[in-house]
Amino acid sequence: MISPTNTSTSRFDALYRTNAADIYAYVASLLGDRASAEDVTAQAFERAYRRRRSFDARRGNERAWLFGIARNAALDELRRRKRRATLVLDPEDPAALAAFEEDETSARWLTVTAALATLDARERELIALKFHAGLSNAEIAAVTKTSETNAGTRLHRAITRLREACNDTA
Amino acid sequence: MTRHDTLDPAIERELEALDEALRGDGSDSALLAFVSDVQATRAQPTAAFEADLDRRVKAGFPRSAPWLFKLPTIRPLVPVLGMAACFALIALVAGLALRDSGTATDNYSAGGSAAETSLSEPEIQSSAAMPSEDRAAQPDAAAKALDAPLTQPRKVQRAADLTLTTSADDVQNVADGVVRETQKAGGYVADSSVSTSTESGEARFTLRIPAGRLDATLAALSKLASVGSLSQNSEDITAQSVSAADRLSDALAERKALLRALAEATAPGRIAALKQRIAINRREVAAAKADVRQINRRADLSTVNVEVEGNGKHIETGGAWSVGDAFHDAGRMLGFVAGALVIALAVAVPLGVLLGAGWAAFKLVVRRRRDAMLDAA
Repeated sequence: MISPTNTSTSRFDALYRTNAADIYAYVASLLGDRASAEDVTAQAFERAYRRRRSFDARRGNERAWLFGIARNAALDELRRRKRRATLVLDPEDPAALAAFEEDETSARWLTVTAALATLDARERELIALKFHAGLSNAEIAAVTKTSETNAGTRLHRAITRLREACNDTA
Repeated sequence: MTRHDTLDPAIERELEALDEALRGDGSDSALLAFVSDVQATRAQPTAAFEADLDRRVKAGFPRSAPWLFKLPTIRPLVPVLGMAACFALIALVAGLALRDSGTATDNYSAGGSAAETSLSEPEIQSSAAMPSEDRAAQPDAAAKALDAPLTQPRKVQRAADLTLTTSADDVQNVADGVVRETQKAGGYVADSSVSTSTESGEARFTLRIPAGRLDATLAALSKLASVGSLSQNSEDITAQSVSAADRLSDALAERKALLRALAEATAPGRIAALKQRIAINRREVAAAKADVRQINRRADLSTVNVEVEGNGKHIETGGAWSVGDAFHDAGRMLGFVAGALVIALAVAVPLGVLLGAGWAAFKLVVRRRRDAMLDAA
């Protein structure tokens, strides 16, 4: 016999398997460093696990709900980071960077990374949700708590700016 | 302010093309390359992190003990604090119950407002503790009592006046009940008068009830009909009892001395005088014995004046606890519960509204702060 607890646990397990890498990519793009991204990703899944029975399907799908939790956890981490007044970013290895630049694929990677850096945080978030996490426009609207139209417009603007920045950087 | 509910068609087309490119479809090679380049910047979790997170998910994110319980000085105190909280709650409830009980007794003493209710024995006992009519006599009684030896058992005379109201056609039944309860208590009816008619009725009784059964009898009498009023008084007659006993003792001692003197007397004049004195003493002894008996009787038997008024609304109160009584009590209990619920709601609703508003405000502030963090990042 399958109890409601077992059902919700197996559903959560499936949700975790499907979204773990996407959540990590999204959180990493918001925070900018791997260590914090790992902590916040784990924290987000723990919060989701504890609240899994309170999920309300009428307010959006599970994926949007999970990304909403991850977003709040990441923004809380940014607030804590501000209070601690420390800037935590992954250090760059100059030698590795030089070797990286010689490769064409790597050069494009650097171009896009530099272009992303010119965007503001809200635009970077939309790019991450669309390109890294693969969310639909409706899901992005649910996560960022805006209307779908507004989310689409802002997403379009962010993509346009990113493409322009890529062209400028190239 | 204009609200855009629909997406610009050109933007919509571009977003659809983007979705196709993200799925790996589409004919726009530049867009496909752009999508591929952006996706290439996606951060990948390390294998170690994935393994650790898998393990935690599998374990169901086990909770660590709350921080409060981690404190070594707090942990042993938790059961004690829990018990203290329970005792405090019990004391609060008991205090409220006692306060309610006190209020009921006060109303009862006032007479009219509680006239419709029957009295239970404990209520009568509590009201008898300090009858209002007796308070004025307290200093006098206390002064008399001080004259009596402290080791002397106290003798207290108790009396009560009870007025019962019922319908005119029920006066005889109530009167019969008064006699029945008096006999049941081992007392007797010293005086009575009953008059009934179709319009009204009245009965008056003077009862003598053994003092030890007074409270129980008053409780039983109060169940016969609605209690219009009840007053009780008590008087400490210890000093009078001691005084009477002393007079008897003195008289008996004098009698003994007179008899001894009479036995030794030889002169006729002396013998005649002693006999005359002995006759007087005999009367004194008899009077003192009567006083002692009367005082003991006053202490042993309480006087209860009962008046039955036959013009009130008939209320079925007779004898044993009936189904009607059960419905009446259930109604009162439901009324009490409903009242308590109304009071609880009166407190809980505004409190809930305040808490809800506070919670909503808190959530709004948190959301704005989070959004502000995104702007500042």
